[in-house]
Amino acid sequence: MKKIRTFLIKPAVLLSLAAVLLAMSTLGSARAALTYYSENYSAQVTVSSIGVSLMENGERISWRDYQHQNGEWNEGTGRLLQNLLAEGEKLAPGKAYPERLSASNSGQIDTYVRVIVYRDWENADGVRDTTLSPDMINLGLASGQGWILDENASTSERLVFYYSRILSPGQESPALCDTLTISSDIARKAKETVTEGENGYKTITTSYLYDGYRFNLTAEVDAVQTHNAQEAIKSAWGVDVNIAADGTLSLQ
Amino acid sequence: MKKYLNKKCLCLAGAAFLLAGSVTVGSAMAYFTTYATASGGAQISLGFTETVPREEIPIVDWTKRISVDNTGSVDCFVRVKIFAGEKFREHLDENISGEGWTKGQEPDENGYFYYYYDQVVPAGGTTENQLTAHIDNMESTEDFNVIVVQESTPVLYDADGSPYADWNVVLDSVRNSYD
Repeated sequence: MKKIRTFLIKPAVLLSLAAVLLAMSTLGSARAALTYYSENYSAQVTVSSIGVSLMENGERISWRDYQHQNGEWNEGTGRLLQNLLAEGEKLAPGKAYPERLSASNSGQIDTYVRVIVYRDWENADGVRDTTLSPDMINLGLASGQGWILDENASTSERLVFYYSRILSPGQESPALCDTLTISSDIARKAKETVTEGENGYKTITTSYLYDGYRFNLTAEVDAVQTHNAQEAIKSAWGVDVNIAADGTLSLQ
Repeated sequence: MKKYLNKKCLCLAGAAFLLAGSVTVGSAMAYFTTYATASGGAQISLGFTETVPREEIPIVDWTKRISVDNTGSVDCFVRVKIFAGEKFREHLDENISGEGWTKGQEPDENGYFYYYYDQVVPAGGTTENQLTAHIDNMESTEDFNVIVVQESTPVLYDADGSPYADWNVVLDSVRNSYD
């Protein structure tokens, strides 16, 4: 009899524990669900319409906007630096060309945005050359515009910028950079050949080591919801940020 | 019996853990994000610089008229140095001039000056104004040489797009490359 009772009590206890655990997890998810559905409900018209555009010199270049009506992404990808040079113009090392990169909120909810800029060199054969410093592709950064350069995440090849303010729907951020300059140092690597003609004149020919090289610039703009921003940014971008009472973002 | 209980216990605990886990996954997926990217670039066409001096020497006035052709593929600045034998160089500098040419500030270790052409010499172009060097032959009957050496440096641009010359690029001309 005692054996039978023990036999019945143990599973009953275990089952009860499991039921309590399950009930607790359900409570947790119920709480999460309430929050989740509550958020969704209160912003159902707008929350699903996040969107962002990459702007260059005031023109919309690339975008990716969610359309809640049909549940599809409206997206387009353009090319940067298409108007850098006029027809037949050669790129002049040292000259500062206008290059204003910014982000625009093309969705219908407030967002925080960041921009990651990648820069590299290709040789005349189209092969990436890591021996030539990407620092020679110099972006003239705009100061006091609300952009924060994340120096810990940035390298010579990659620059990471966070816009510290909330970007409202339809709003364009200030430009994070004003100019693009290819350092004139690129013309310092040269080879000189001296040839003597029949008339005794010497002709000096200077050819350049990096002639025919191509620089590449890639910009990526990321946007994330402002609701529950710290967790959302940590989850989406993997960085810890502080959000002030007025919504100003700063890096931890 | 004990084995059966352990198995049961593990199954229940596992099921509870999965349920709890799935709740966390659900909340992690609730953030709204998006992104857009674009790329672009441009080729650096440095070409090459090549300059050739052109001289006219009318015997009648013993004046050498010098211009420099840019036969390279990029615009450049040019400068010229004129050498003469010891006997003929005494008044040489006094007799070198040309509109648009500027005498350098400091002579080299042998006392010769550079003469800089003020304007950019375009690829395929020439110095529009000639540099003239009048040679006092001292009524000598001996043969003598007046040697012209020209140098060039590619046009560089400052941030405003204004052209300028960096003669350090050429000064180290005995070497094959510049660091």
